[in-house]
Amino acid sequence: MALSDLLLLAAIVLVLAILSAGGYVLMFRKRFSFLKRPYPETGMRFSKRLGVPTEAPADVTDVTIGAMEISEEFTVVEHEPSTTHDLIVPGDATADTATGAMEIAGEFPVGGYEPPITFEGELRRETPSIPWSYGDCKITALVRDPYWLFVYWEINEAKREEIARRYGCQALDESWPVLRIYDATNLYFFDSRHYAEIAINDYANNWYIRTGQPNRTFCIELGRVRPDGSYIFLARSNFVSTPRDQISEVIDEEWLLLPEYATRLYRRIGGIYPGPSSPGLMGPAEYISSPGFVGPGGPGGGISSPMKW
Amino acid sequence: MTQGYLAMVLHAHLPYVRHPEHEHFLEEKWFHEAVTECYLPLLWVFERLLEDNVDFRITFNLSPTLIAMFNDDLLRQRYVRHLDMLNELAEREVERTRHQPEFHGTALLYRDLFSRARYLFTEKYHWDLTGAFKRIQDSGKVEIITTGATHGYFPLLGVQREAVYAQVAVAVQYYERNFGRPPSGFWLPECGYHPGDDRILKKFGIKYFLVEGHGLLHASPRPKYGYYAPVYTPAGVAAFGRDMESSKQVWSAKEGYPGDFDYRDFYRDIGYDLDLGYIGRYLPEGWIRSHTGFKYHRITRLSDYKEPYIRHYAMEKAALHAGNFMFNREKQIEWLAAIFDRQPVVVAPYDTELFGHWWFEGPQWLDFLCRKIYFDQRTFAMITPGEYLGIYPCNQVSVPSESSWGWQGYHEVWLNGANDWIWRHLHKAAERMVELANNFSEPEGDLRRALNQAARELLLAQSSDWPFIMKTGTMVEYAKMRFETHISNFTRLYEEIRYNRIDMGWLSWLEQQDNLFPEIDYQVYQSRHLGELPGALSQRVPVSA
Repeated sequence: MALSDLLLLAAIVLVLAILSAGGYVLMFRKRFSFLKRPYPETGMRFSKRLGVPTEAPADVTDVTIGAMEISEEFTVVEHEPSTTHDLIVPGDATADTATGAMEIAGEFPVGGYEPPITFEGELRRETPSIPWSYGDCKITALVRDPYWLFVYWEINEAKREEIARRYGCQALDESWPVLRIYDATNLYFFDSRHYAEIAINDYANNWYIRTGQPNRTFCIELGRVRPDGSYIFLARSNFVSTPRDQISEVIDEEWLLLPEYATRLYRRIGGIYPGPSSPGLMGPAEYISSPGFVGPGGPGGGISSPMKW
Repeated sequence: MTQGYLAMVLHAHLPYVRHPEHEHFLEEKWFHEAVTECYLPLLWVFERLLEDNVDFRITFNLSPTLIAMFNDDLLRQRYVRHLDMLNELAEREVERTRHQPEFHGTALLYRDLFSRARYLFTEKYHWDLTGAFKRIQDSGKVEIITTGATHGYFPLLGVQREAVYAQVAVAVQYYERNFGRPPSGFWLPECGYHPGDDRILKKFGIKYFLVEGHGLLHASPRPKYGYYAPVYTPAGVAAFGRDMESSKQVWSAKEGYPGDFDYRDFYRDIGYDLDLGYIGRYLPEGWIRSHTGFKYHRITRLSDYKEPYIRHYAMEKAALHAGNFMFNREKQIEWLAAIFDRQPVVVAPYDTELFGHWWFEGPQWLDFLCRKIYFDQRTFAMITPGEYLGIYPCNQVSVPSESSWGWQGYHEVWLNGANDWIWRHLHKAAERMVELANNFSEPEGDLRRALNQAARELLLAQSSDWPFIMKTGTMVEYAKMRFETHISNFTRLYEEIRYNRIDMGWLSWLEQQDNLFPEIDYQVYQSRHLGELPGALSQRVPVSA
């Protein structure tokens, strides 16, 4: 055979190989779906990057209410970036990005892909930033349940400087932070002699505190204890009251069921009627809570929905 | 002779999800699914009960964000588009299952249901679901109550009392605009009760609210009737407590009705089962496997093996369970009436999305229940809490204990490792909003717009759905994004107002984007309102209902 014939044969074989490979991919394209990007939890990034065709580009025809106005806003707005701090908000449009968006839109085929409203605004929309701190010096307490409290706090620079001035520059470095829990139930004035103290660390700006005492009022103080045992006060929280965890001992004599009826009622409801020796405790065997209810097993195992959606 | 009463309360809420910047947005499906599977079927049930002159009573809570979504034009349009898609798919499903008799009946059922949904939404109600509920309320059989403006969790928001005041004020104002009268009842979001919040409810003429069972049971002084009768808080608002027995029968994982093996299985949806080539165009982005609403199997047993759904088996079970529920309430009320000197009221609140979405046969169960109660027995009758107060205007005065109906009964669901970081931002934002409201009493045009928008952003950030979703772990990224977006919008607005550099272009865009409560007035955040709250009643006198 001549060389040219061999070359022709090789070319034909190559073409056939390419065609059959392509055919294989087309036929079994589902197996190649890993080539598509995984769906992130927000719908936004995905649809924009792959440019999934939608009905019409938003800024060309007024197919969605509000879309026309949105695109018009971006072409005329002049925005001066805030100089106090770098807050990024969704759809943050600078004059530059507005024109950038129009240029991008111009390159896209009409009726094909939906151009993003603003390109940079889209990326920024993914991560709106909230302030890390507010420059306050305070501690706030919240009740979680009859036995637990939650506190969060913040100490600002001004306070740190004040401590350095008053107690010396080493005071903050040498001391460690503590939380003091005061029981303020039925107190007309603040009794600062009786408290529980928890040593915490400097990495925390919030803490869960187990007081274990229902139906009492508490107040939490944030402070620092120095090696010599002296205490530096930083901030004091609001007063919070833990709820009861059992039926009340207070009885209104005008609203009284006969004791034998009351015993039966509480036994039915699931509580134990309090007597001199046993405190009444509310303990349903299965807590029926909202919303949704957890069922046996996962998908396919009955109605199991740990969440609403 | 009526020995007692049953108060069924349905709680309907969705967070405000509206994304005009995207043609299709995954989380807007929540709204579409809820309307198609829960609200339209329930409205249909109510209409038929009214036609048949059944004397039933249901208390229905519609949250302001849900009403706002009912009223929004963009969401209505998108919902009709969703309905068209469902109807088209239903037709194709009927074709596809034509030679599969075990599934064909169910496909025909879906075609009927979805074409009825379309008829109801477009022709009967003219796209106006709020009006439909209003007409049902005007018939006297259904009482619509309201809840926090964006369903904020009051016990944890209440570090700033003005924040709770604003949630109630905006909700009551929005309710009055939509229903033409003030609400008589209030659903505390998640039944989260903090003693003292009732004074705010009293200011707006609210006559009653609901608390979790142990909230009322642990009230001080001890309530005479457990949670089978309301108490008045010292401010004069009645508190009704949830009954655990009736809740358990419906909601218990072990014993509840919805887990019955003949009911439709939630998870075997054709969105997961069928080939993408067929079902893809009905899925988000064309390929993301998710629920379409077409499910063809019944629960069958506690394993992955599922048999086809047989409608009349399920309907038989629904009727059976309705009869069983009614029988149990009869026995319960007879027992209670024997030891009480008044007629007890059994309060049974449920999440509305249970009826139709999680439990497909739920609306039919409710239909059967109302009919059986009316026709088949005389021991008890259905009632609304407001009517019960009309019969018994004199009640014990007691302070319910702080509680919620979330898991563990207190605030843990909204305050735990997954979401405790949000509260410092919410408290600070509320503090700043109060500062703004107190400082500006007569703002001119643009400043007023900015203040109102700041109030909107704060309300949207306060939604209890965000921490809830963070805890349960489903669409956590979305919840975080929403929370952070609204806080950052608010913070930027706060600074622009403070330094008098309001960016009008951005503000106009934001007003369209987050357009909740168009008539909101930022002045609800002023501290002076707290000074005008009704004080505690000192005498134990009968309070007129």
